Amino acid sequence: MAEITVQGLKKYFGDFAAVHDSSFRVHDGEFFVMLGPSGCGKTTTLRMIAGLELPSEGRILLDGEDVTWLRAARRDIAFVFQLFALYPHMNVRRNISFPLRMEHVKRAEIRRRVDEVADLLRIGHLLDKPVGGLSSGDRQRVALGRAIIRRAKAFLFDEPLGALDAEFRDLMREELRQLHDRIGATSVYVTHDQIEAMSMADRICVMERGKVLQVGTPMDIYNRPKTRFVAGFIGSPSMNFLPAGGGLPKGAEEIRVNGARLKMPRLREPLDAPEAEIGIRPEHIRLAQDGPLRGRVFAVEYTGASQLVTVDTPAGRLKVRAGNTQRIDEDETVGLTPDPRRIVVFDPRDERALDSGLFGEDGHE
Amino acid sequence: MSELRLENLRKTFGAIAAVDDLSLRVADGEFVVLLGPTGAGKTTTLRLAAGLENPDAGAVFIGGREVTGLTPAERDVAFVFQQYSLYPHYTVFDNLAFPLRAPGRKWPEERIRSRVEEIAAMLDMEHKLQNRATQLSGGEMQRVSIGRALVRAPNLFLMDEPLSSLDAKLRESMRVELKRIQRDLGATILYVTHDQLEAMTLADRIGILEDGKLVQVGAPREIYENPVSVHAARRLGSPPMNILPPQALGLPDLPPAAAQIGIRPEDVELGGDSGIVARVESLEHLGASMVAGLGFGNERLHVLLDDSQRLRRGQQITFTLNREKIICFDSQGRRIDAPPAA
Repeated sequence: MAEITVQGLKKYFGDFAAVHDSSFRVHDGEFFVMLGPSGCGKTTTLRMIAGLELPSEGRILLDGEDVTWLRAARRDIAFVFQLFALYPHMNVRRNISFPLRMEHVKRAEIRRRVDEVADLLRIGHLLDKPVGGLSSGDRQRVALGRAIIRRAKAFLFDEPLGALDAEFRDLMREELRQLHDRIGATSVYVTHDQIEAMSMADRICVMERGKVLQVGTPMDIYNRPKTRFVAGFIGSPSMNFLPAGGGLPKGAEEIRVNGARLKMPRLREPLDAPEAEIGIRPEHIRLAQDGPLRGRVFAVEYTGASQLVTVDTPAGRLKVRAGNTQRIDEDETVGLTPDPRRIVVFDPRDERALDSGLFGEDGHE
Repeated sequence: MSELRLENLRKTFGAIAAVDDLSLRVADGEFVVLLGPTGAGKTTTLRLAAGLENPDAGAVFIGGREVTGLTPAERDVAFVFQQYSLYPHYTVFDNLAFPLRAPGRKWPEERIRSRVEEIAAMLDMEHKLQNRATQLSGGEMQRVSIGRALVRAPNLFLMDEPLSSLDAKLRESMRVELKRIQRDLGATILYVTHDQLEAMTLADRIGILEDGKLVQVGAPREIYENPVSVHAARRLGSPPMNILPPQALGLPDLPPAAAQIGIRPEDVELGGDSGIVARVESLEHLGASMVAGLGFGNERLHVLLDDSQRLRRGQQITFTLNREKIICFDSQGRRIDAPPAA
């Protein structure tokens, strides 16, 4: 049981502001992912929550209690580093029980808790084996067991899957999330990998240059990004961006792109800048001969379940995700129809998304 | 003509056969990708083709001429490595010109200049010709490495994971560029990767390697839709094909030898009164789509869904399989040819 509240957190290293006035709340039992490129301040924030780093300003509350200045060991939070570090000379049971033995927990209690954790991780049959002969998946599970045996209020993970190969990472991603669901403890997970964030998180907190840009569910952040950075960072292939005409009144429902007029969600604020930019995801563009945008196919990539089509238009290069049965040829001229409900309009001056019908009834706040 | 032919190649390191009786033909102008996990023999195969290793048995032909035993230089092949290997203090121009200035070549400087400019234009690097290699981004450096391979118009290109050191966005755009350059030049390329998406998007044909053996060679769509084995089936596609015991699904009319059946995550549909009852155990949002992990009995399978589906973890649902897309495998994991009766 733990709710984590971060209020106005700042961290300076000399003149450099690693974290700038960050505030967010992690709900009890939530899988919360902090996402951003390297150097964005996500790990520093995590280390402050853990107590491994002290903030320059701001507060951290754990279940309402101010723990900002409390030592790491007294916070009842488990920090999971690189998951692979096991003690090679101990068997699985002794590796998992290590943190409890350090705390002089009674033997019967240790045995009971190790069995419980092993059951949770489905490694009961490995308990008396040496760690040397284990597969990399089982080693990872043992390392996780050692992290969760202390029954902390919250688990903090710093890129735990970063060093693994792609295939195994996919598998562990799913297992880690299921483990979280079974334990029900609050998890805060740091990564620079947007696929990891999208697939694991209940909510994602996107950071850039020490600032929190947006906090929301994966689908919310994917479909309703509040800044151009968030829009471009999430999604693979990336969202398409095209220059568009500005000078838009509140209530506008059309935007000019390369001579064409595109329908878009109704704007709830005006844009007085002379230029705008629109964003549209590859799967929200349809290839249709009568489309308002036209371009030449530069490349067609078959990916199994779908095809990625790269199209050069006078307004710029676009990626379109099409069904895997549609016949598309390189150098063919095609029409493109963006889904009018899915267009995001950005103010190029501050790269903020304009408030519009895209953001639902309550809008942008 | 720069066709590459590998015939019955074998290479052992101690007791391990890294490449085991491997034969492959890369046609002139073709882009062939060898796909396999670490240790499958991809890089060894590439090094045998380049002349960086000598085979224990078998032969290598380039353009119809046997080159087994010849040095890399005598084979006239260009090798692009995973790590870009530029001369850091040279300019982009001098890096690109380097292979043309080899003593044996005796090209006049003017001819070198026009060739370098031609390649730079193709790579969209004309404006960076006077920059030093150290002033370039990772993507630019890798483009120059590829350019340096292209500049002397070799018979054959051998590429060992040239995009793997780039970040995801750059890899995406370089993939498209590389394919386009290859197509425009009519270049013959043998390319090695462990990344299935790279293989599917770049290759005219993919060769699936497992323990030093080629298990299937074919166009991406052909292997994706008609894999010859469980191994080949699970190499392509993300998430990979579901492999399940047939009795878990209560399917009638399967061939008696069918010990395992395969179904791609996009060929599973949710809903239906007569469907199999399952529980949503995991849910992964991927933006354009999402992947649900379903548990039923002691089995699990993945379903690829579009983002409009509303599902919760723990929810009970039913699912059905698209019968036409089911692939049957025998107990050895080999494809059974007779498709299930309609």
